[in-house]
Amino acid sequence: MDHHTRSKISIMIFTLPAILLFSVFIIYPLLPTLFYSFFDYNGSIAKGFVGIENYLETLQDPVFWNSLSNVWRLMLAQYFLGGPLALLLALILSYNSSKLNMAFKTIAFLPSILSVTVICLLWSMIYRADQGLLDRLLMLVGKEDWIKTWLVDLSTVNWSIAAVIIWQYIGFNLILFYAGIKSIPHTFYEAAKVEGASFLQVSTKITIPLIQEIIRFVLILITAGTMGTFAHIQVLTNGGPGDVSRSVVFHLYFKAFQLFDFGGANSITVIFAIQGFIIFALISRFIARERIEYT
Amino acid sequence: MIWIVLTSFKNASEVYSSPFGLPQQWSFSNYIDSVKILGLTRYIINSFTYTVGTVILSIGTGSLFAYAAARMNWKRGTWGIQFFQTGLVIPVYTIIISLYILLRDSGLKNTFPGLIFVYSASALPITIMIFYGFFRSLPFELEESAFIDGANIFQAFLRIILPVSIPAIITTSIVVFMNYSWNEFPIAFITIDDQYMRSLPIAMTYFTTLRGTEWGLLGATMVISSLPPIILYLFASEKIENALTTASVLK
Repeated sequence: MDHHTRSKISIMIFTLPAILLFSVFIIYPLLPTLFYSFFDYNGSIAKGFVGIENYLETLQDPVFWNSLSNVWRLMLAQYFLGGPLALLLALILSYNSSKLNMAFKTIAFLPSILSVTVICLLWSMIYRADQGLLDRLLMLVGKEDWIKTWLVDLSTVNWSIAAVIIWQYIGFNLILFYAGIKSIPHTFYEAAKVEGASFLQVSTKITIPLIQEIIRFVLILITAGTMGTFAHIQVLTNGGPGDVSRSVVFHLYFKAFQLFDFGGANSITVIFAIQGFIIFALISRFIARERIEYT
Repeated sequence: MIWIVLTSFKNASEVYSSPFGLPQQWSFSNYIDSVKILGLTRYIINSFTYTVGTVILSIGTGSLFAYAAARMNWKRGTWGIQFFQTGLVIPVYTIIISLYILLRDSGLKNTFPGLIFVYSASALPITIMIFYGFFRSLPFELEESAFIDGANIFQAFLRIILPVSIPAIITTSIVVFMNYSWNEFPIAFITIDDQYMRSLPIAMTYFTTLRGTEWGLLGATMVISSLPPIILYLFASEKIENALTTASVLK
Protein backbone atom coordinates (compact mmCIF):
# COMPACT_ATOMS: atom_id res chain seq x y z
CA MET A 1 0.00 0.00 0.00
CA ASP A 2 2.99 2.26 0.46
CA HIS A 3 3.13 3.40 -3.12
CA HIS A 4 -0.34 4.84 -2.72
CA THR A 5 0.44 7.09 0.23
CA ARG A 6 3.99 7.95 -0.84
CA SER A 7 3.34 9.15 -4.37
CA LYS A 8 4.60 12.73 -4.73
CA ILE A 9 1.98 13.53 -7.33
CA SER A 10 -0.99 12.48 -5.22
CA ILE A 11 0.42 14.39 -2.24
CA MET A 12 0.65 17.47 -4.43
CA ILE A 13 -2.89 17.07 -5.70
CA PHE A 14 -4.15 16.72 -2.13
CA THR A 15 -2.25 19.62 -0.63
CA LEU A 16 -1.78 22.24 -3.35
CA PRO A 17 -5.34 23.64 -3.55
CA ALA A 18 -5.40 24.50 0.15
CA ILE A 19 -1.85 25.88 0.17
CA LEU A 20 -2.51 28.03 -2.90
CA LEU A 21 -5.82 29.39 -1.64
CA PHE A 22 -4.37 30.25 1.73
CA SER A 23 -1.13 31.72 0.42
CA VAL A 24 -2.81 33.98 -2.10
CA PHE A 25 -5.67 35.32 0.03
CA ILE A 26 -4.24 35.31 3.58
CA ILE A 27 -0.44 35.18 3.57
CA TYR A 28 0.33 37.28 0.49
CA PRO A 29 -1.80 40.32 1.56
CA LEU A 30 0.43 40.73 4.62
CA LEU A 31 3.29 41.87 2.36
CA PRO A 32 1.67 44.90 0.68
CA THR A 33 0.35 45.99 4.08
CA LEU A 34 3.91 46.25 5.35
CA PHE A 35 5.37 47.48 2.06
CA TYR A 36 2.96 50.34 1.38
CA SER A 37 3.11 51.58 4.97
CA PHE A 38 6.35 53.27 3.86
CA PHE A 39 4.77 54.93 0.82
CA ASP A 40 2.50 57.82 0.01
CA TYR A 41 -0.19 55.60 -1.46
CA ASN A 42 -3.77 56.42 -2.41
CA GLY A 43 -4.81 52.86 -3.23
CA SER A 44 -4.10 53.08 -6.95
CA ILE A 45 -0.65 54.57 -7.38
CA ALA A 46 2.23 54.85 -4.96
CA LYS A 47 3.46 58.43 -5.14
CA GLY A 48 6.82 57.75 -3.63
CA PHE A 49 8.77 56.35 -0.73
CA VAL A 50 8.28 58.41 2.42
CA GLY A 51 10.23 56.36 4.96
CA ILE A 52 8.68 56.35 8.40
CA GLU A 53 6.64 59.49 7.79
CA ASN A 54 3.32 57.57 7.87
CA TYR A 55 4.30 56.10 11.20
CA LEU A 56 5.22 59.47 12.70
CA GLU A 57 1.95 60.90 11.46
CA THR A 58 -0.04 58.06 13.00
CA LEU A 59 1.74 58.37 16.33
CA GLN A 60 0.92 62.10 16.40
CA ASP A 61 -2.70 61.58 15.38
CA PRO A 62 -5.01 62.23 18.36
CA VAL A 63 -7.83 60.27 16.68
CA PHE A 64 -5.59 57.21 16.50
CA TRP A 65 -4.81 57.46 20.21
CA ASN A 66 -8.45 57.97 21.04
CA SER A 67 -9.47 54.91 19.04
CA LEU A 68 -6.69 52.91 20.69
CA SER A 69 -7.90 53.95 24.13
CA ASN A 70 -11.44 52.94 23.11
CA VAL A 71 -10.17 49.46 22.28
CA TRP A 72 -8.33 49.26 25.59
CA ARG A 73 -11.39 50.45 27.48
CA LEU A 74 -13.40 47.74 25.77
CA MET A 75 -10.78 45.17 26.69
CA LEU A 76 -10.81 46.23 30.35
CA ALA A 77 -14.62 46.17 30.38
CA GLN A 78 -14.49 42.59 29.07
CA TYR A 79 -11.72 41.56 31.50
CA PHE A 80 -13.40 42.97 34.59
CA LEU A 81 -17.08 42.81 33.72
CA GLY A 82 -17.98 40.51 30.82
CA GLY A 83 -15.56 37.70 31.64
CA PRO A 84 -16.20 37.56 35.42
CA LEU A 85 -19.95 37.77 34.86
CA ALA A 86 -19.83 34.81 32.45
CA LEU A 87 -17.74 32.88 34.97
CA LEU A 88 -20.16 33.64 37.79
CA LEU A 89 -23.14 32.50 35.70
CA ALA A 90 -21.29 29.31 34.70
CA LEU A 91 -20.52 28.57 38.36
CA ILE A 92 -24.16 29.05 39.34
CA LEU A 93 -25.46 26.97 36.43
CA SER A 94 -23.09 24.08 37.07
CA TYR A 95 -23.78 24.15 40.82
CA ASN A 96 -27.45 23.58 40.24
CA SER A 97 -28.25 22.15 36.81
CA SER A 98 -32.02 22.36 36.87
CA LYS A 99 -34.04 22.34 33.64
CA LEU A 100 -34.65 26.06 33.96
CA ASN A 101 -30.93 26.74 34.24
CA MET A 102 -30.18 24.67 31.16
CA ALA A 103 -32.82 26.61 29.24
CA PHE A 104 -31.13 29.82 30.37
CA LYS A 105 -27.77 28.50 29.11
CA THR A 106 -29.27 27.77 25.70
CA ILE A 107 -30.89 31.19 25.41
CA ALA A 108 -27.78 33.03 26.60
CA PHE A 109 -25.77 31.40 23.81
CA LEU A 110 -28.18 32.55 21.10
CA PRO A 111 -26.80 36.10 20.54
CA SER A 112 -23.37 34.72 19.64
CA ILE A 113 -24.77 32.83 16.64
CA LEU A 114 -26.57 35.87 15.23
CA SER A 115 -24.91 38.42 12.97
CA VAL A 116 -23.45 41.54 14.51
CA THR A 117 -25.80 43.56 12.31
CA VAL A 118 -28.90 41.99 13.83
CA ILE A 119 -27.55 42.43 17.37
CA CYS A 120 -26.61 46.05 16.78
CA LEU A 121 -29.87 46.98 15.05
CA LEU A 122 -31.72 45.42 17.96
CA TRP A 123 -29.70 47.52 20.39
CA SER A 124 -30.11 50.69 18.39
CA MET A 125 -33.85 50.19 18.82
CA ILE A 126 -33.23 49.88 22.55
CA TYR A 127 -30.96 52.93 22.74
CA ARG A 128 -32.96 55.02 20.25
CA ALA A 129 -33.40 58.59 21.45
CA ASP A 130 -36.99 58.94 20.35
CA GLN A 131 -39.14 56.36 22.15
CA GLY A 132 -36.32 53.85 22.54
CA LEU A 133 -36.98 50.79 24.68
CA LEU A 134 -34.45 51.75 27.36
CA ASP A 135 -35.90 55.25 27.76
CA ARG A 136 -39.41 53.86 27.97
CA LEU A 137 -38.34 51.43 30.68
CA LEU A 138 -36.76 54.27 32.63
CA MET A 139 -40.00 56.22 32.29
CA LEU A 140 -41.98 53.23 33.57
CA VAL A 141 -39.90 53.08 36.76
CA GLY A 142 -39.98 56.86 37.14
CA LYS A 143 -36.34 57.64 36.41
CA GLU A 144 -36.98 60.18 33.66
CA ASP A 145 -33.90 62.20 34.59
CA TRP A 146 -31.70 59.22 33.73
CA ILE A 147 -32.77 59.38 30.11
CA LYS A 148 -29.92 60.07 27.76
CA THR A 149 -29.24 59.99 24.05
CA TRP A 150 -27.22 56.86 24.70
CA LEU A 151 -25.34 56.63 21.42
CA VAL A 152 -24.78 60.38 21.03
CA ASP A 153 -23.98 61.59 24.53
CA LEU A 154 -20.19 61.74 24.91
CA SER A 155 -20.35 60.36 28.43
CA THR A 156 -22.32 57.25 27.50
CA VAL A 157 -21.55 56.34 23.89
CA ASN A 158 -18.48 54.17 24.49
CA TRP A 159 -20.06 52.39 27.44
CA SER A 160 -23.23 51.78 25.48
CA ILE A 161 -21.16 50.07 22.78
CA ALA A 162 -19.25 48.06 25.40
CA ALA A 163 -22.55 46.87 26.89
CA VAL A 164 -23.68 45.50 23.52
CA ILE A 165 -20.43 43.62 22.94
CA ILE A 166 -20.39 42.18 26.47
CA TRP A 167 -24.03 41.14 26.11
CA GLN A 168 -23.49 39.43 22.75
CA TYR A 169 -20.59 37.24 23.83
CA ILE A 170 -21.39 36.55 27.47
CA GLY A 171 -23.26 33.35 26.61
CA PHE A 172 -20.38 32.10 24.50
CA ASN A 173 -17.86 32.60 27.32
CA LEU A 174 -20.35 31.07 29.71
CA ILE A 175 -20.48 27.86 27.65
CA LEU A 176 -16.68 27.69 27.55
CA PHE A 177 -16.46 28.07 31.34
CA TYR A 178 -19.33 25.64 31.81
CA ALA A 179 -17.65 22.97 29.67
CA GLY A 180 -14.44 23.47 31.65
CA ILE A 181 -16.26 23.09 34.98
CA LYS A 182 -18.09 19.98 33.79
CA SER A 183 -14.79 18.32 32.84
CA ILE A 184 -13.59 18.42 36.46
CA PRO A 185 -13.82 14.87 37.88
CA HIS A 186 -16.58 14.39 40.46
CA THR A 187 -14.17 13.05 43.06
CA PHE A 188 -12.97 16.60 43.70
CA TYR A 189 -16.41 17.57 44.96
CA GLU A 190 -17.27 14.55 47.05
CA ALA A 191 -15.25 15.53 50.12
CA ALA A 192 -16.63 19.06 49.93
CA LYS A 193 -20.15 17.69 49.81
CA VAL A 194 -19.60 15.53 52.89
CA GLU A 195 -18.33 18.52 54.82
CA GLY A 196 -21.21 20.66 53.65
CA ALA A 197 -19.16 23.34 51.88
CA SER A 198 -21.04 26.39 50.58
CA PHE A 199 -21.31 27.51 46.96
CA LEU A 200 -18.72 30.21 47.59
CA GLN A 201 -16.29 27.77 49.17
CA VAL A 202 -16.67 25.17 46.44
CA SER A 203 -16.23 27.82 43.74
CA THR A 204 -13.17 29.57 45.13
CA LYS A 205 -11.40 26.56 46.64
CA ILE A 206 -12.11 23.85 44.07
CA THR A 207 -13.64 25.02 40.80
CA ILE A 208 -11.77 28.21 39.93
CA PRO A 209 -8.28 26.81 40.66
CA LEU A 210 -9.07 23.80 38.45
CA ILE A 211 -10.19 25.81 35.41
CA GLN A 212 -7.15 28.10 35.20
CA GLU A 213 -6.51 27.02 31.63
CA ILE A 214 -10.02 27.88 30.51
CA ILE A 215 -9.76 31.26 32.23
CA ARG A 216 -6.53 32.04 30.40
CA PHE A 217 -8.03 30.83 27.20
CA VAL A 218 -11.14 33.02 27.49
CA LEU A 219 -8.83 35.93 28.25
CA ILE A 220 -6.95 35.37 25.00
CA LEU A 221 -10.20 35.02 23.07
CA ILE A 222 -11.61 38.24 24.55
CA THR A 223 -8.40 40.11 23.76
CA ALA A 224 -8.29 38.98 20.15
CA GLY A 225 -12.00 39.71 19.75
CA THR A 226 -11.93 43.25 21.10
CA MET A 227 -8.90 44.18 19.04
CA GLY A 228 -10.80 43.33 15.88
CA THR A 229 -13.88 45.38 16.85
CA PHE A 230 -15.29 46.98 13.74
CA ALA A 231 -18.81 45.87 12.84
CA HIS A 232 -20.37 46.94 16.15
CA ILE A 233 -19.00 50.45 15.73
CA GLN A 234 -20.00 50.64 12.08
CA VAL A 235 -23.62 49.67 12.75
CA LEU A 236 -24.21 51.36 16.12
CA THR A 237 -22.54 54.76 15.74
CA ASN A 238 -20.53 54.84 12.51
CA GLY A 239 -17.64 55.97 14.70
CA GLY A 240 -19.53 59.04 15.88
CA PRO A 241 -20.45 61.45 17.20
CA GLY A 242 -17.56 62.91 15.23
CA ASP A 243 -14.80 60.38 15.73
CA VAL A 244 -15.07 59.69 19.46
CA SER A 245 -16.32 56.10 19.32
CA ARG A 246 -13.98 54.78 16.63
CA SER A 247 -12.08 51.57 17.22
CA VAL A 248 -8.63 51.24 15.69
CA VAL A 249 -9.91 49.00 12.92
CA PHE A 250 -12.68 51.48 12.16
CA HIS A 251 -10.11 54.28 12.10
CA LEU A 252 -7.86 52.49 9.64
CA TYR A 253 -10.86 51.63 7.47
CA PHE A 254 -11.88 55.30 7.50
CA LYS A 255 -8.37 56.47 6.69
CA ALA A 256 -8.08 54.15 3.69
CA PHE A 257 -11.56 54.23 2.20
CA GLN A 258 -12.81 57.71 3.12
CA LEU A 259 -9.58 59.71 3.08
CA PHE A 260 -7.76 57.50 0.52
CA ASP A 261 -4.64 57.51 2.65
CA PHE A 262 -3.81 53.82 2.20
CA GLY A 263 -0.19 54.33 3.27
CA GLY A 264 -1.27 55.91 6.54
CA ALA A 265 -3.88 53.21 7.10
CA ASN A 266 -1.24 50.52 6.60
CA SER A 267 1.01 52.18 9.15
CA ILE A 268 -1.88 52.07 11.65
CA THR A 269 -2.28 48.36 10.89
CA VAL A 270 1.39 47.66 11.53
CA ILE A 271 1.51 49.68 14.76
CA PHE A 272 -1.70 48.07 16.00
CA ALA A 273 -0.48 44.57 15.13
CA ILE A 274 2.76 45.20 17.05
CA GLN A 275 0.70 46.47 20.00
CA GLY A 276 -1.39 43.27 19.82
CA PHE A 277 1.75 41.17 19.72
CA ILE A 278 3.04 42.87 22.88
CA ILE A 279 -0.26 42.33 24.70
CA PHE A 280 -0.29 38.63 23.82
CA ALA A 281 3.35 38.32 24.86
CA LEU A 282 2.48 39.90 28.22
CA ILE A 283 -0.50 37.59 28.67
CA SER A 284 1.52 34.47 27.93
CA ARG A 285 4.43 35.70 30.04
CA PHE A 286 2.43 36.55 33.13
CA ILE A 287 -0.86 34.72 32.88
CA ALA A 288 -1.03 31.92 30.33
CA ARG A 289 2.26 30.28 31.20
CA GLU A 290 1.18 26.73 30.55
CA ARG A 291 0.38 25.69 27.04
CA ILE A 292 -3.23 24.72 26.56
CA GLU A 293 -3.46 21.15 25.32
CA TYR A 294 -6.80 19.81 24.22
CA THR A 295 -6.82 16.56 22.36
CA MET B 1 -35.43 39.13 20.82
CA ILE B 2 -39.07 38.25 21.29
CA TRP B 3 -39.79 41.94 21.11
CA ILE B 4 -38.23 42.08 17.62
CA VAL B 5 -40.40 39.22 16.42
CA LEU B 6 -43.48 40.98 17.78
CA THR B 7 -42.44 44.28 16.22
CA SER B 8 -42.01 42.63 12.87
CA PHE B 9 -45.70 41.77 12.83
CA LYS B 10 -46.91 45.28 13.62
CA ASN B 11 -47.75 48.13 11.32
CA ALA B 12 -45.88 51.43 11.53
CA SER B 13 -48.28 53.31 13.82
CA GLU B 14 -48.63 50.42 16.21
CA VAL B 15 -44.87 50.22 16.67
CA TYR B 16 -45.11 53.65 18.27
CA SER B 17 -48.41 53.43 20.11
CA SER B 18 -47.81 50.13 21.89
CA PRO B 19 -44.20 49.05 21.57
CA PHE B 20 -44.44 46.38 24.29
CA GLY B 21 -47.84 44.87 23.60
CA LEU B 22 -48.78 42.05 21.34
CA PRO B 23 -49.70 43.13 17.84
CA GLN B 24 -53.46 43.68 17.52
CA GLN B 25 -53.47 42.05 14.15
CA TRP B 26 -50.75 39.62 13.24
CA SER B 27 -49.83 40.94 9.85
CA PHE B 28 -47.26 39.59 7.47
CA SER B 29 -47.19 42.81 5.48
CA ASN B 30 -43.77 43.73 6.84
CA TYR B 31 -42.37 40.49 5.49
CA ILE B 32 -43.94 40.97 2.12
CA ASP B 33 -42.85 44.61 2.02
CA SER B 34 -39.30 43.86 3.05
CA VAL B 35 -38.99 41.47 0.17
CA LYS B 36 -40.67 43.87 -2.28
CA ILE B 37 -39.43 47.31 -1.26
CA LEU B 38 -35.97 46.45 0.00
CA GLY B 39 -35.27 43.83 -2.65
CA LEU B 40 -34.45 41.33 0.02
CA THR B 41 -34.55 38.29 -2.27
CA ARG B 42 -31.40 39.44 -3.99
CA TYR B 43 -29.47 39.63 -0.71
CA ILE B 44 -30.81 36.33 0.55
CA ILE B 45 -29.59 34.68 -2.66
CA ASN B 46 -26.22 36.46 -2.36
CA SER B 47 -25.68 35.38 1.23
CA PHE B 48 -26.81 31.87 0.43
CA THR B 49 -24.38 31.62 -2.50
CA TYR B 50 -21.44 32.99 -0.51
CA THR B 51 -22.18 30.59 2.33
CA VAL B 52 -22.70 27.42 0.32
CA GLY B 53 -19.68 28.18 -1.88
CA THR B 54 -17.50 28.76 1.17
CA VAL B 55 -18.64 25.60 2.94
CA ILE B 56 -17.97 23.47 -0.14
CA LEU B 57 -14.63 25.02 -1.08
CA SER B 58 -13.16 25.14 2.42
CA ILE B 59 -14.21 21.58 3.27
CA GLY B 60 -13.15 20.31 -0.16
CA THR B 61 -9.64 21.74 -0.08
CA GLY B 62 -9.21 21.54 3.70
CA SER B 63 -10.14 17.87 4.05
CA LEU B 64 -7.78 16.89 1.21
CA PHE B 65 -4.91 18.76 2.84
CA ALA B 66 -5.65 17.35 6.30
CA TYR B 67 -5.80 13.85 4.82
CA ALA B 68 -2.37 14.20 3.23
CA ALA B 69 -0.91 15.57 6.46
CA ALA B 70 -2.52 12.97 8.69
CA ARG B 71 -2.47 9.77 6.68
CA MET B 72 -0.07 9.94 3.76
CA ASN B 73 3.70 9.59 4.02
CA TRP B 74 4.21 13.26 3.47
CA LYS B 75 7.59 14.30 4.85
CA ARG B 76 6.58 17.90 5.44
CA GLY B 77 3.20 17.03 6.95
CA THR B 78 3.92 18.55 10.36
CA TRP B 79 5.39 21.60 8.69
CA GLY B 80 2.21 21.96 6.65
CA ILE B 81 0.04 21.78 9.76
CA GLN B 82 2.17 24.40 11.49
CA PHE B 83 1.84 26.64 8.43
CA PHE B 84 -1.94 26.66 8.86
CA GLN B 85 -1.72 26.88 12.63
CA THR B 86 0.09 30.19 12.36
CA GLY B 87 -2.68 31.22 10.02
CA LEU B 88 -5.09 31.01 12.94
CA VAL B 89 -3.44 33.96 14.65
CA ILE B 90 -3.47 36.34 11.67
CA PRO B 91 -6.21 38.87 12.44
CA VAL B 92 -8.47 39.96 9.60
CA TYR B 93 -7.63 43.64 10.06
CA THR B 94 -3.98 43.12 9.09
CA ILE B 95 -4.90 42.03 5.56
CA ILE B 96 -8.22 43.72 4.89
CA ILE B 97 -6.86 46.72 2.92
CA SER B 98 -4.50 44.61 0.85
CA LEU B 99 -7.33 42.15 0.20
CA TYR B 100 -9.45 44.93 -1.24
CA ILE B 101 -6.63 45.94 -3.59
CA LEU B 102 -5.89 42.31 -4.51
CA LEU B 103 -9.54 41.61 -5.37
CA ARG B 104 -9.85 44.87 -7.32
CA ASP B 105 -6.68 44.33 -9.36
CA SER B 106 -7.50 40.70 -10.12
CA GLY B 107 -11.03 41.58 -11.24
CA LEU B 108 -12.54 39.43 -8.50
CA LYS B 109 -14.03 42.33 -6.55
CA ASN B 110 -17.84 42.19 -6.37
CA THR B 111 -17.95 38.66 -7.73
CA PHE B 112 -19.17 35.48 -6.07
CA PRO B 113 -15.88 33.59 -6.57
CA GLY B 114 -13.91 36.53 -5.14
CA LEU B 115 -15.61 36.57 -1.76
CA ILE B 116 -15.90 32.77 -1.67
CA PHE B 117 -12.12 32.45 -2.20
CA VAL B 118 -11.41 34.91 0.61
CA TYR B 119 -13.91 33.33 3.00
CA SER B 120 -12.67 29.81 2.26
CA ALA B 121 -9.06 30.85 2.73
CA SER B 122 -9.87 32.43 6.08
CA ALA B 123 -11.82 29.34 7.16
CA LEU B 124 -9.08 26.91 6.02
CA PRO B 125 -6.96 26.83 9.21
CA ILE B 126 -9.88 25.86 11.45
CA THR B 127 -11.21 23.40 8.85
CA ILE B 128 -7.84 21.70 8.58
CA MET B 129 -7.39 21.50 12.36
CA ILE B 130 -10.78 19.82 12.80
CA PHE B 131 -10.22 17.31 9.97
CA TYR B 132 -6.60 16.65 10.98
CA GLY B 133 -7.67 15.68 14.48
CA PHE B 134 -10.46 13.54 13.11
CA PHE B 135 -8.40 11.70 10.47
CA ARG B 136 -5.72 10.83 13.00
CA SER B 137 -8.31 9.08 15.13
CA LEU B 138 -9.34 6.70 12.30
CA PRO B 139 -7.76 3.21 12.05
CA PHE B 140 -5.37 2.72 9.13
CA GLU B 141 -7.02 -0.57 8.17
CA LEU B 142 -9.76 1.51 6.54
CA GLU B 143 -7.82 2.33 3.38
CA GLU B 144 -5.71 -0.81 3.39
CA SER B 145 -8.63 -3.00 2.54
CA ALA B 146 -9.58 -0.62 -0.26
CA PHE B 147 -6.04 -0.72 -1.67
CA ILE B 148 -6.10 -4.53 -1.62
CA ASP B 149 -9.28 -4.35 -3.64
CA GLY B 150 -7.35 -2.34 -6.20
CA ALA B 151 -8.59 1.16 -5.44
CA ASN B 152 -6.24 4.11 -5.82
CA ILE B 153 -5.83 6.74 -3.16
CA PHE B 154 -8.43 9.12 -4.61
CA GLN B 155 -11.04 6.38 -4.70
CA ALA B 156 -10.12 5.34 -1.17
CA PHE B 157 -10.52 8.94 0.03
CA LEU B 158 -13.84 9.48 -1.71
CA ARG B 159 -15.48 6.11 -1.00
CA ILE B 160 -14.00 5.08 2.34
CA ILE B 161 -12.78 8.12 4.21
CA LEU B 162 -15.33 10.81 3.35
CA PRO B 163 -18.39 8.71 4.26
CA VAL B 164 -17.04 8.02 7.75
CA SER B 165 -16.09 11.69 8.15
CA ILE B 166 -19.67 12.94 8.41
CA PRO B 167 -19.22 14.13 12.04
CA ALA B 168 -16.20 16.25 11.09
CA ILE B 169 -18.03 17.57 8.02
CA ILE B 170 -21.02 18.62 10.14
CA THR B 171 -18.86 20.31 12.79
CA THR B 172 -16.89 22.21 10.15
CA SER B 173 -20.02 23.22 8.24
CA ILE B 174 -21.52 24.72 11.40
CA VAL B 175 -18.35 26.67 12.20
CA VAL B 176 -17.90 27.92 8.64
CA PHE B 177 -21.57 28.86 8.36
CA MET B 178 -21.75 30.76 11.66
CA ASN B 179 -18.31 32.34 11.86
CA TYR B 180 -16.94 32.62 8.35
CA SER B 181 -19.77 33.24 5.91
CA TRP B 182 -23.43 33.83 6.82
CA ASN B 183 -22.67 36.26 9.67
CA GLU B 184 -19.35 37.60 8.39
CA PHE B 185 -19.15 41.40 8.42
CA PRO B 186 -15.81 43.24 7.95
CA ILE B 187 -14.55 41.52 4.79
CA ALA B 188 -17.90 41.76 3.04
CA PHE B 189 -18.42 45.35 4.15
CA ILE B 190 -15.04 46.58 2.95
CA THR B 191 -14.46 44.57 -0.21
CA ILE B 192 -17.94 44.76 -1.74
CA ASP B 193 -18.89 48.13 -3.15
CA ASP B 194 -21.53 47.06 -5.65
CA GLN B 195 -24.84 47.27 -3.81
CA TYR B 196 -26.30 44.29 -5.69
CA MET B 197 -23.53 42.01 -4.48
CA ARG B 198 -23.92 42.81 -0.78
CA SER B 199 -24.54 40.00 1.65
CA LEU B 200 -27.55 40.13 3.96
CA PRO B 201 -25.77 41.54 7.07
CA ILE B 202 -24.25 44.32 4.97
CA ALA B 203 -27.42 45.16 3.07
CA MET B 204 -29.30 45.46 6.36
CA THR B 205 -27.03 48.21 7.65
CA TYR B 206 -28.10 50.31 4.67
CA PHE B 207 -31.81 49.71 5.23
CA THR B 208 -31.83 52.01 8.27
CA THR B 209 -30.50 54.98 6.36
CA LEU B 210 -32.49 54.10 3.28
CA ARG B 211 -35.90 53.95 4.87
CA GLY B 212 -35.64 56.10 7.99
CA THR B 213 -37.07 54.37 11.00
CA GLU B 214 -39.51 51.78 9.76
CA TRP B 215 -38.81 49.45 12.60
CA GLY B 216 -41.51 46.96 11.67
CA LEU B 217 -39.93 46.51 8.27
CA LEU B 218 -36.46 46.29 9.73
CA GLY B 219 -37.67 43.81 12.34
CA ALA B 220 -38.91 41.58 9.53
CA THR B 221 -35.52 41.60 7.76
CA MET B 222 -33.78 40.90 11.07
CA VAL B 223 -36.00 37.89 11.63
CA ILE B 224 -35.42 36.62 8.09
CA SER B 225 -31.64 36.92 8.37
CA SER B 226 -31.62 35.22 11.78
CA LEU B 227 -33.91 32.35 10.83
CA PRO B 228 -31.29 29.98 9.34
CA PRO B 229 -28.95 30.07 12.37
CA ILE B 230 -31.85 29.97 14.84
CA ILE B 231 -33.57 27.02 13.15
CA LEU B 232 -30.27 25.14 13.09
CA TYR B 233 -29.75 25.98 16.74
CA LEU B 234 -33.21 24.79 17.75
CA PHE B 235 -32.58 21.41 16.17
CA ALA B 236 -29.03 20.90 17.34
CA SER B 237 -28.19 23.35 20.13
CA GLU B 238 -25.77 20.99 21.83
CA LYS B 239 -23.99 20.17 18.61
CA ILE B 240 -23.62 23.82 17.67
CA GLU B 241 -22.36 24.82 21.10
CA ASN B 242 -19.80 22.02 20.93
CA ALA B 243 -18.73 22.86 17.39
CA LEU B 244 -18.22 26.55 18.04
CA THR B 245 -16.44 26.11 21.36
CA THR B 246 -14.19 23.38 19.92
CA ALA B 247 -13.34 25.70 17.06
CA SER B 248 -12.43 28.54 19.40
CA VAL B 249 -10.37 26.21 21.58
CA LEU B 250 -8.38 25.11 18.53
CA LYS B 251 -7.61 28.75 17.96
